[in-house]
Amino acid sequence: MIDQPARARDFGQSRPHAGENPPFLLTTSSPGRSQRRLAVCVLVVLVGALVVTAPFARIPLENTEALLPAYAAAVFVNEVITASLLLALFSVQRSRAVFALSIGYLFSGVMVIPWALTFPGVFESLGLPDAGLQSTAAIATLRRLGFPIFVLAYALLEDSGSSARVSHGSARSVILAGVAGVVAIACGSTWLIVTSDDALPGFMKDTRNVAAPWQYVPATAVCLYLVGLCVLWIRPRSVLNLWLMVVLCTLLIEIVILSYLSAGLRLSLGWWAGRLYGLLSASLVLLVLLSEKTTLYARLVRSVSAERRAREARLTAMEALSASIAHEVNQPLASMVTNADAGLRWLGRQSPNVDEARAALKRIVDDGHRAAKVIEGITTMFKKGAQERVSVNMNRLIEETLRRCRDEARLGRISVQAELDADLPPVMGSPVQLQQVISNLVANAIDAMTAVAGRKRVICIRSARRNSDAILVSVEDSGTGLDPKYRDRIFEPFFTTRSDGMGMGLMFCQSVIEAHGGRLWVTDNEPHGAIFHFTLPSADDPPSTAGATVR
Amino acid sequence: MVMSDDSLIAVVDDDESAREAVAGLVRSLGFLAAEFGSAADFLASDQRSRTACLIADVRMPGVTGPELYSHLMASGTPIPTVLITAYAREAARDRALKSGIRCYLAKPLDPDELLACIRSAIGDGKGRIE
Repeated sequence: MIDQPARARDFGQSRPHAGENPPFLLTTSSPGRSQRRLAVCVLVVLVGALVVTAPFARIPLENTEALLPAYAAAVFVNEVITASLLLALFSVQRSRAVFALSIGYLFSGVMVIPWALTFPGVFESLGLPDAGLQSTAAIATLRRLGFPIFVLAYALLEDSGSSARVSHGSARSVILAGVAGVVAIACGSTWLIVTSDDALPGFMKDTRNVAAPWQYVPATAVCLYLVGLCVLWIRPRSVLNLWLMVVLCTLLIEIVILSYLSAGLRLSLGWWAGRLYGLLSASLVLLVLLSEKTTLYARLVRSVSAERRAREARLTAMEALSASIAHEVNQPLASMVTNADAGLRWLGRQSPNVDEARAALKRIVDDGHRAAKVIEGITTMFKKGAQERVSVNMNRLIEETLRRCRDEARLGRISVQAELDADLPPVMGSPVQLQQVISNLVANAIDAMTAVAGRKRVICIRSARRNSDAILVSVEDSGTGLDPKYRDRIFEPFFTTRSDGMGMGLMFCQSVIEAHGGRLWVTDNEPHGAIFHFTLPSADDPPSTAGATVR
Repeated sequence: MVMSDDSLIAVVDDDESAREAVAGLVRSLGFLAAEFGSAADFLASDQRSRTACLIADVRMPGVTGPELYSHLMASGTPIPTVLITAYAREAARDRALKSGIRCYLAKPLDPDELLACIRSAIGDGKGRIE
């Protein structure tokens, strides 16, 4: 990294390919038929409620101010929790779109507080200073117009390619800055509004009835909702998009009831009905997030247990295979020992029987050949389907493997770097096997770092020329490192320090690398972790040398 | 040590190279050895009556070593038997020795141990030893 900064590439940071998001996230999985049906049902119920409420919308409900703090608290809690769940999604997915949406929810939730505090007659009993007549309406305007703008930002940023990803490692500071910004804007605007009541547009005639300038607010809001709906409609349909459309519809119905059916009359039946819609819209995405999380968790549990079953089956097969290999090899070995004993006896006699000794030696030779044949058979079986040797560009193989591992690494909050020698010569080998070696080593490195806390989790893969006739690839992690007492055993079959591991990974890697005429070894990384290195003879190597190492 | 002219040690093992090796070792220890690829071959052979000691593999397709021994016991023609195996297990060993098996040896065979076993077996061989 120090010698070749220009070639260093952070795979967690750059190269985000659109459409390569991990599946099953709320923002990437598409809604099923039942989800769509549910969304339509919710809308139908809402419109039905709107129709039922309409004739009674202007009936005033006196002395209901007392309910307002409860309403405000419910909206605040729902929207802030939604915002934090979306921020958690953002920290995994790092999509700016999701960030914009979470900030929108946070803004909407935070602005409920000054709205309720300034509402005429609500907090008088608490001895709060009486806010001006226009304050509440002005705050409501900010909140009402602010939220759809954030939704619009979400819809527009979504899927807009590489620029929409926030770089690795900075998620926490981005979140902190966003939260701080929202709180600052909420406080600042509230202060401005409360202290300069005279300069505000005259939205209200009195504490209950709106004035002429107010009509622009719902009109603008309706426009924003409609634009948001259109943009969401033409975007690829995800679960989140679907329910955001329902949310915008709910808000649309809310504004229709609040501002048109009840003519903006505060604390009327229509006004309160609109508030209920507002509460519903504040809860919808939260409910969807929670139910999706539960569904995904169940799916995860199922897939993990399926994988565990598959692994156990594989383990049983491996045990059977290894037992039969052990038997096949042990038989000729035992015979060789017995024949050698017989030979020694013949030669140890007072008059050595050379003919019998020779016969015993001949049997040893046969047994040796037999053992070699067994081993050869295993090797052939091992290479089955992957015997084809072609010219392989290791850099491309590494990049491809890293792209596959990227999502797993991101979920483990691991940054993956590659420093690849652009002048790397090709090697002759099986691309399938060599790719398995790299992905085994990377998977090993990821596993070694899952328990790491308090320091950076970094995987670095390097490729370089080694001498004139070989290449060197190293996979370096900042994980827990190697226990010295296991160091000599890690390449043994069935050796593993993991409770769930099969222990075939490193043995497989070593076999493949040695079958390609290379070498695999491990050293300590400073100050933490391990480095696995392997060499491979390069393809432009003279064939005689390659022939000596590649069988 | 000299055996009577016509008595021999029978080696029964389905694995040819293992059988040859054991028979070779038996011969180098100074005995006559006859090889059989299965229990059935041995039972059908006319050399059965000359057999002073039987060395049989535990695991064989068809009739196993212990089964061969039981068969000989049941038919009233017991032959002192040494069982050999590549999978020596304590429990199987105890069971075999209890049933009257002379020795239960793990492959690869220790020549001195095998010699001791054969000697002890043909010592019971009703005067076949001179």
